[in-house]
Amino acid sequence: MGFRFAKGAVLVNLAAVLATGLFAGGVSCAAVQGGLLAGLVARQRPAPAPGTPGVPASTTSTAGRTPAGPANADAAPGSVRRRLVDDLVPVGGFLAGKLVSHTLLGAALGAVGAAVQLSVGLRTAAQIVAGVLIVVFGLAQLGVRGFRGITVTPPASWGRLVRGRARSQSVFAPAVLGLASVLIPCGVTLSVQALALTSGSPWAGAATMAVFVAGTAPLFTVLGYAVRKAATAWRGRLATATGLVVVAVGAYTLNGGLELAGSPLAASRVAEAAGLGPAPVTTFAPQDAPPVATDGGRQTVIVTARTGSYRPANLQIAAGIPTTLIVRAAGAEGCVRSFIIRDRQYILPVRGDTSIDLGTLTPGRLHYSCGMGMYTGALTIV
Amino acid sequence: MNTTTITLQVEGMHCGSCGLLIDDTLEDVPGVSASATNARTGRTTVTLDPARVTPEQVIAAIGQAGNYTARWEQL
Repeated sequence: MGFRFAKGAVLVNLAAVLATGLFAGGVSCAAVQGGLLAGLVARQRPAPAPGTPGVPASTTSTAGRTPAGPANADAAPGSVRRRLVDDLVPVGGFLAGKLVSHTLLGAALGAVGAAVQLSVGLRTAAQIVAGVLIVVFGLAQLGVRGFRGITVTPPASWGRLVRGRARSQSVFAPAVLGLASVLIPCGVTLSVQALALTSGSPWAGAATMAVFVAGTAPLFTVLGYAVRKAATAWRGRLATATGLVVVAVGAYTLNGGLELAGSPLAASRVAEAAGLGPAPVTTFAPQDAPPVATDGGRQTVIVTARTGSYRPANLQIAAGIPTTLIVRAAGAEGCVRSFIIRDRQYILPVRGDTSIDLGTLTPGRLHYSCGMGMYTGALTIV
Repeated sequence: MNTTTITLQVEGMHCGSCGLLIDDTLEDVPGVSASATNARTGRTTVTLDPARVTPEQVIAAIGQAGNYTARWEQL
C-alpha cells in the first residue's frame, strides 16, 4: 500500500523548495555548472579575432568564460540581440536537460520513499535522517565552523563523464550537459533530493525536484552564466540566504520526524513543556464535532480532520472507561489523511469516519500526528 | 615536450562541480596537458609544459574560473 500525500504537505514543501531554488540558482553547484556551460559554449563558437572585446588578454583561450551577450554589451546593437539569442538557446537547452534528469530522479526518490513508508517506524527514521542531513548541508552552505569543510564529491568517473559532455561539439551538448548535471549534486541539491525522498509519492518527488530546478533558472541564467565574474558581491548574500532557507527546511523536516517519534524534543512538546501549548484543553468539542459522548459505559471521542489541522487540538476525556476515537474527515487532503496514533497509521478517507478503539485509558496524554509529523494533537486523559 | 607536475592548494571549493570547473578551465590553458582537482582535499594537480605556461598563470586561471584562491601547497 502506498499512501499518496496529496496537496497539503507537498505544497508547503514546494514553496520552501522554490525559495531554495530561487536563491541557489546564483550560488552553489547551480552557478558553478554555469561555468561549465559557458566553457562549452565558448569552445563551440568560432574563435574571435585577437583584440575583440570580451577576449581576455591572458594566456588562456576560454578561461575568461564570460560568454558573449549581456555582459559584453559594447558590440553593435544587432549583434547584441543575436548574441543574446545565441546565449539563451544553450542556457535553455541546459536547463531543459537538467529539468528532465532531476525530475526523473525526484520521481524515483519519491517512489523509494513511498515504498519505505510502509512502516511508520521506518518513515520516522527516514524523516529524521533527512532532516539532520538537510540541516548539516545548510550549515555547510552558511560556512559555519565545523561544517564548512563538508563537501560533496561524486565518484571521479561521474565527474569525467560530465566533463566529457562539457567538451562535446554536438549541437545538443548543452542539453546533454544539463542531463548529466544530475551526477554532480552539491549539498543544496542533495537536500532537495532528501525532501523528494520523504515526499511520499513519485509525483510529489518529481514535483519537488522540478520546482527546485525551475526555481534556479532565473539567477542561473543571469549570475551563473551571463555575468559570472561581476556577481561576486551578490554571491555572499545569496549564499547566506540559501543556507538559511536550507537550514529552515531541514529543521522543519527534522521536527516532523521528531513529532512522529513522539520525541520530547519535537516543537509541540517543547512548547508544551515551556507552557506555550498545546491548545487549551477542550472539554467539549467545537461546533464542527459533537461533544464527547458517553453511552452505555463507552466513551466516544470525535476529532475532526481537515486539510492542515486536527480539531480540537487538545481534547479532555475521561480515564477508566472503554474509549472509541472517531476521526471524522471533513474535506481532509494531504498528509492529515495519514493519522498516526500509538505508532499505528490509519488512512483516513477525504470525507467520512474512521473508528479507532483506544481501549480503557489511564490518566495522561495521548499524542497523535499526521504521517509527516506536520500536524499534531493530543487527548488529555483525566 | 618537456612536462612537469605541480600541486596547488585551492580554497573556495564547496562541491564536486567546483573541481570539474577548475579542471575544465585549466585544460583550456595552452601548455596545460592535464588537471585533476579533488574538492574534498582542496588540491589540484596540474601537468604543464613549463616552456609555455608558468605556475603563476595557472594560479591566475584558477582565480578566473570562480571565487577560488590557489597557492603552492605547503609541504
